[in-house]
Amino acid sequence: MGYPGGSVRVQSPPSGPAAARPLTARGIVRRFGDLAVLDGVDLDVAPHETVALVGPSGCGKSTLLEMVCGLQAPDAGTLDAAPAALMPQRDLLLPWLDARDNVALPLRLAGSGRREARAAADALLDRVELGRFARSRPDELSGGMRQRVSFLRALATERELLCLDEPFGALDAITREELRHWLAERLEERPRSVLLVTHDVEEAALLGDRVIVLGPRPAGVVARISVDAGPARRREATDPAVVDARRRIHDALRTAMRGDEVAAT
Amino acid sequence: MRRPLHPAVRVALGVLGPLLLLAAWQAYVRLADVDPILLPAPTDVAASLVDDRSLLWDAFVVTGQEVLLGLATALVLGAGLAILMHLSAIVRAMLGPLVIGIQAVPIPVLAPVLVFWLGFGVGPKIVIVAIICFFPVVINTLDALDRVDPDLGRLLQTMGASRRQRLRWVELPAALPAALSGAKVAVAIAGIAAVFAEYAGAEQGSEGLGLLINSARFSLATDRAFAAVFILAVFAVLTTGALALAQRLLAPWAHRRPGAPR
Repeated sequence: MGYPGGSVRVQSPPSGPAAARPLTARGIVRRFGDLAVLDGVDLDVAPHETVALVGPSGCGKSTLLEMVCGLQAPDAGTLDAAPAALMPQRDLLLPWLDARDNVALPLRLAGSGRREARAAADALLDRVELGRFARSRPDELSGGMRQRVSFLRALATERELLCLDEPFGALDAITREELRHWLAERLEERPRSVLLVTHDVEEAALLGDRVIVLGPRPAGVVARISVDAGPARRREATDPAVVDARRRIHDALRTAMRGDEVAAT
Repeated sequence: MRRPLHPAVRVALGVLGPLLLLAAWQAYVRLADVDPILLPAPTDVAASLVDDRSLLWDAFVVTGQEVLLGLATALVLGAGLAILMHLSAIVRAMLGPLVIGIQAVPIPVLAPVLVFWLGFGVGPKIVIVAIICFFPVVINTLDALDRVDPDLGRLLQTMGASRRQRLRWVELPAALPAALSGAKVAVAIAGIAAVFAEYAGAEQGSEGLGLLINSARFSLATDRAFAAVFILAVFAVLTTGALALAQRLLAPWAHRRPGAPR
């Protein structure tokens, strides 16, 4: 596979000591024709770290995520990533498979037999008390339940790096909060390295160990914010450290947007 | 929103509709004193269904076989061709116009050639039925394959799925309901195709409903011709119903259950 200018290296699992960092991106540039979307983005995700990627609409967050998942290549820069599992914004469960077979799908694709893959999927569903929904088709599940199944499908791959693309974007406020807690619990049980793309500042502050703020197009990193608020599972929106992180993210976004307006005038 | 009918009510209405038509037809023929050679009364047709049952049954067995085998051939080849056209732009560009063009060839032109090649047996009839049924199956399946959510394919790519795996896990299941819908359209015209195919000739003793209709018309036994048409109509309704059932069993996800959470 040839890339125009950038280089991509997918680490071969299992990662050795040399590849301890699941994601390292340097100087990532991406253009679509004359439209420059990403302009020299540097990004790292450390083992078992959750990095939230925040930025205005259309700034290239999802483009960056797709590069990490191997769906696109950068025009310039280097990207060194562990094999990643994607949880998309829409659950994208296969309507013809029940919840168990949807969770088992990545294992089947990787060559596991039906029985083996189903047993692994059942174990995952049982552990989070979703076993009774194992035989339900996606159209029989609520939106929140479908997203849970979608997350378990991403977990099933046992890949070190999880890419979550606006995972709660299509849900109502209450379900979103429930699911955020649920997801934080799951990540505490089975720690992974997570790259979370979101436009929700509060979500970023509640789940991220670090928050990377991208500016408007062509996007570069405008701020890197550490959230020192303890484990994500125990964070509340009113925690002073979360409130402080939210304020800093907002400030960075506002400054970046203002700069964009000044540049445009 | 339209309220769904109870299945029993739906079946009753499905019977009532044709019964009303038959009653109107009976009244018209009796009141207007229509010549039975031109248009027999439904009661005459019913009498022929009873009196000529052995003749009609033998002919139906032949035609039914032609329809089912032709339809099965169309389903297998049509779906196969649609998959090939979906996978290869070259195949699609080469065969696309041909698929549409063949559909426009009148059967009476095609039938003698096929009889010349394949003889007077059941072969040319199956081919003709298959050619007629082929088009809706190919078009419906191809359309469904083209409309598969591209994000599903991209997600499978992130899981390392090969092209063959994407076809097996995403595209084929997604296209199945549409392929069966194409078959439902095809089955309605398959009977007509078989009748026309039989006009090209058949071996002695293996005449189907098409030839029976033809000979009944020549011997002015219009009631028998109508009895054969009635059998064809009932057969079309039953095969369409069987396909609808197959669609529900093979692609249950395509029928959303009322009351399912959204």
